[in-house]
Amino acid sequence: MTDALAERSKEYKYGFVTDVEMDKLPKGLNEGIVRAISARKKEPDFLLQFRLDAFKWWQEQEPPAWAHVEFPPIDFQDIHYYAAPKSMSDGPQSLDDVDPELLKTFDRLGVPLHERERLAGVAVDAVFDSVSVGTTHQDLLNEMGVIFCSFSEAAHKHPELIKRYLGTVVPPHDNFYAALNSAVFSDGSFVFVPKGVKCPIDLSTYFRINASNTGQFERTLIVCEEGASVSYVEGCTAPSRDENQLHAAIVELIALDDASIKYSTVQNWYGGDAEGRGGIYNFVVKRGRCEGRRSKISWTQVEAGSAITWKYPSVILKGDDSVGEFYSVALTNNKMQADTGTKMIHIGKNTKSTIISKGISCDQSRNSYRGLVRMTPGATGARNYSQCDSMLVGDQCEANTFPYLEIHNQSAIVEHEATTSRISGDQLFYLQSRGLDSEAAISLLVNGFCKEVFKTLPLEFSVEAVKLLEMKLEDSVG
Amino acid sequence: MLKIRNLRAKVVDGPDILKGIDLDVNAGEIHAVMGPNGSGKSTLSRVLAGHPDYEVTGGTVEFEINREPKDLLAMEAHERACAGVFLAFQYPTEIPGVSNSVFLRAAFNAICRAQGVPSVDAFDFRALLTEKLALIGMDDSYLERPVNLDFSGGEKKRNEILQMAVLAPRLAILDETDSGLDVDSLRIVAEGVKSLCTPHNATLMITHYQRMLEYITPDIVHVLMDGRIVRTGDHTLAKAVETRGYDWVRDEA
Amino acid sequence: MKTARTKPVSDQYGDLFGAFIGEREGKDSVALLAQRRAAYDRFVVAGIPTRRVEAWKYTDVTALADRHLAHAVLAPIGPDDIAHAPLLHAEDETLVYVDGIMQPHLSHRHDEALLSATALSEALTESGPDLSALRADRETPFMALNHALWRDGLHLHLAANGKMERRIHVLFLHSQQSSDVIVNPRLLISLGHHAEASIAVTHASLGDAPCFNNATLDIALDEGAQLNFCHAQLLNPAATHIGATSITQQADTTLRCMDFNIGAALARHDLTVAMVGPGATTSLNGLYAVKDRQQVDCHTLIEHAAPNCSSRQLYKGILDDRATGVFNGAIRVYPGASATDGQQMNRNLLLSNTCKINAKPELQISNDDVKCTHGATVGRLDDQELFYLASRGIDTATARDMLSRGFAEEVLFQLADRQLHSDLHEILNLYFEKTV
Repeated sequence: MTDALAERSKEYKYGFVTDVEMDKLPKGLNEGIVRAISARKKEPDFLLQFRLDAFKWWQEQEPPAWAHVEFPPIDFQDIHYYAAPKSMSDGPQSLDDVDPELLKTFDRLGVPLHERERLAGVAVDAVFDSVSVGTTHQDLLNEMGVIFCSFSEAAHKHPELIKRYLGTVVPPHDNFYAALNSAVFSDGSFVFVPKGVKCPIDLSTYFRINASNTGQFERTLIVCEEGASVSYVEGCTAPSRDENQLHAAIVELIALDDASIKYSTVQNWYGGDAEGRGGIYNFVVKRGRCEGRRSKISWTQVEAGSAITWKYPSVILKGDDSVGEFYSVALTNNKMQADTGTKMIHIGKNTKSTIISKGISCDQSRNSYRGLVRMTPGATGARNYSQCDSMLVGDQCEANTFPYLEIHNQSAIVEHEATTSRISGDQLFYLQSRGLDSEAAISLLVNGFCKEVFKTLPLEFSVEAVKLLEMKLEDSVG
Repeated sequence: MLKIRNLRAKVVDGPDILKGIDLDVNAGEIHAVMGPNGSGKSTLSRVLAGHPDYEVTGGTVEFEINREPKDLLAMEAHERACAGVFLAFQYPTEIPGVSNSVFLRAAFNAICRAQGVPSVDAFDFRALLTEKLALIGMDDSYLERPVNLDFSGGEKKRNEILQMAVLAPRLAILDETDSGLDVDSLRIVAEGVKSLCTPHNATLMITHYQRMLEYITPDIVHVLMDGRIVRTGDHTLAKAVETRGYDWVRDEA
Repeated sequence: MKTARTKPVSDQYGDLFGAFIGEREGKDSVALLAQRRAAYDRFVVAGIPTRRVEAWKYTDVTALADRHLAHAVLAPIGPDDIAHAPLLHAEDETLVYVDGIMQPHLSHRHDEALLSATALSEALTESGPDLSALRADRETPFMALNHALWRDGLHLHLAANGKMERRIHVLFLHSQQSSDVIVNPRLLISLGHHAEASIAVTHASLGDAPCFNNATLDIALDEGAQLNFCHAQLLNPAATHIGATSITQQADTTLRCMDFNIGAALARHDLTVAMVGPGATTSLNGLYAVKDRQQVDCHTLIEHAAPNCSSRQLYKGILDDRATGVFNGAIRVYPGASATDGQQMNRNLLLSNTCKINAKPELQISNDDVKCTHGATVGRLDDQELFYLASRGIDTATARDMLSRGFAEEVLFQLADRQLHSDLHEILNLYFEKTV
């Protein structure tokens, strides 16, 4: 590691690189690479066809450019589309066989996988570059009939479920990055909660990008059958590198009648340095469908990393009386850019959605909320409430709010509010003059601003999220 | 408990505003510092509280902590608060998103910790607050409102006094607490302050007019002009200033 | 394949422009003729925006690319012909245009010393300014077309410190024609420093024939000037209206603006207020009320480019039948515009089950010393309020009528000019009479 990198890694504590031998496919994207990825994973033919179809469509598309973010054109031929630790190349193994170097990596990230130290109350699927390293708490889950495994494993063991649900929420032709992911997705998590089962522990995937010049394209699919429920948490980090790395994932959620899915993300990919060098391009398609009546999908995201965050976790409210929620805190500092928000598409009757978005912009960063609320003509009695607040820290940052309200039903009730405020030296002094030190003062302000979002996170992640934001803010608030 | 010697201070990058202040405050005393606009009254209060916009260019401030004189100027703003210095702001700052109850408990516990006293839980603290609220004539609903946000001028000032009641400082500095208050609010605020004065604490009232002094009789009155205390006397000095104006003091000096 | 971002215009426009520029030879200065040619070229290069362009996401105007438009053939029009034109009052300073041509015999001037009215073709001599340079970076294809084709443009100027007691009313009418016509109203208003005026600009129809009314309006307020401005679009239900209004405010100016949109089959109004001097204040109120198959699209942009400026915005929309409404309101705060106070509220009332509203309030903030809020609501009449009225013996139809009018009245109430208030109130009555 160079001195400069070492210096930066101090600021971003997950910036280290793990030294393991990698099996990489050559750079570039063509039909051969798509076939090679599928072959590496010994996939059933329907998945290969799925990939090829997506790839064919992708080739005809141009990258979208409508977001309020700026970056040089991505050379899609200069990326490795598959990288896996050599030790994992023989397919899924038990945790005992995992390369100790990898287990150590996840220990350092605070996600111990080993039976002895694993997190109580949370089952973790750890994904290192393109492959799943292992999944904890399998016994308990098996007992309940809950399937929680890597996507590759699911493709072998449960092809009928994959075939039934894959691409039904985010079709391969949905958009440019969805097509790219559908062609080259590497691994990810699959969750299936059968009828009537309330998953007793939180499920969690921890994504780690390690290899350089490598894109990460995971695919997560969560299905809750009638009356089932699950809470799922995603965490992510990457080494500090001078280059930009592309992360283009897809998450699909499906909730049948009376099912409930809660999906939480604490995103802390490397965001680049103060000069804007390096960092992850986080271009992710996340979408859930409330297929059944009275189903519920709730997204919570704490976005604190990535050079560019460009994503809109969305809910299609198809079932009558279904509920969609989006709670977001997006913090940008240095020269980071975020264009994030949600789409709530109301189709069923009496559907309800809530959007709470909190953007914090520091330094020279750019932070935009973009959200769509659509009430289709059939969405009688539908309701939406949106609140989008921005906080500015410093006079060189940018905070934008771009809500789109498309209301095609008279009985719909839609309310949108947005405010801007700032953390100022005056506020800090006021709090300090009452006995709080600067750390406690910042924490109070951040908690005050974000509390509606933090309270929706599972407790241990909520604590982690608060710490993460405090740490990032302390440098920016003068 | 407070000993100020030849204190000189200025706004960072500006000219001197305080040009040599000497002031002694003992426990049980109520002092009034009066002066015309621009004389340095607010600067004095903010310098004592440790506002980062001001730079001390000379002099000393000693504050007794556990009967030991300590260098107040070497302490951070929050350390001064924990040591018992309280500034009631002339323009209290609005803090969106943070409720009064959360804020007050955080401050109360920070001071408890600093003084080696155990923190209180939310339930006990609520009981304490309810008692103090009555003092300034506010109801419980106020506790869930964000600090000073959309408060009227009178509510902001009352809120300052409530904080003072809860945090029980040894030295309370009231910066123009009477400004912007109608007669009824002034009475509530003044009576609140008065009820908080004990033989163990001291109060420094900074004011332009004599309004508040109608309710609280100061033991000692100082007249501050052009960054210096030019005259010190008993409460009759305040009356004299009110009737004869500051020019009279200037001429006498 | 994806649709293109623009649609090329048909050759009809070339014929229209060719004939027009021929007529102008000898009337316009060489410089102006050159400006017109350049503007037309920009229009052709740009084409008509499709819905892929963000600013036109909800309103499809591509039919304009193929319209066979001509300039109106002007028949003599007398005072009786315009007796029923809206907002006409003898005591006003009134300037009347029919089909884009100034009608001195229909206009009333009282105070020509204080308020100068100059024909743009006279102002734009060899040494005159290039009008299109005013908003070069923001020029839409329609503004370029306007500059290529306007017939009688006008520059109104109120001298510094001048206080105009009378209301100034500029009335743009289009006449009944047998062919599909284009009218390009072009108006420039400037207020000298500390001047005060109340100005109304009205677009209306004589008859029920279609027309493409393509208006461009620029207003400049010099330091300390105060303007009450009312923009009323009252065209007939066959008309197409595309308007661009740009207001620039220097230091310590006050603008009170009413944007009233009730007419036309398809109406689009872009209203931009740029506060470029410190201490400027703006109060911007708007009402759009549409029914049948009308489409209305209101875009507002408030730019805070200097410190200590404040803006207040209230836009309300009423939609009935199969009407479609768009409200896109942006507040943009630039670096350096400290102590900015910007507020915007958009409320929409849906009276039928087949109408649609697309609302897009935006905040773009590049400064931390700001207080900005916006809000948007969509809903129908409140059941509780309806019930309350019913419980006092008021029948449903009357109750709905009362509540709908009350909804609109909140905006009209902001008008300080009681005469204007009552005029617009009357016009709104017609909307409700046929609606409820």
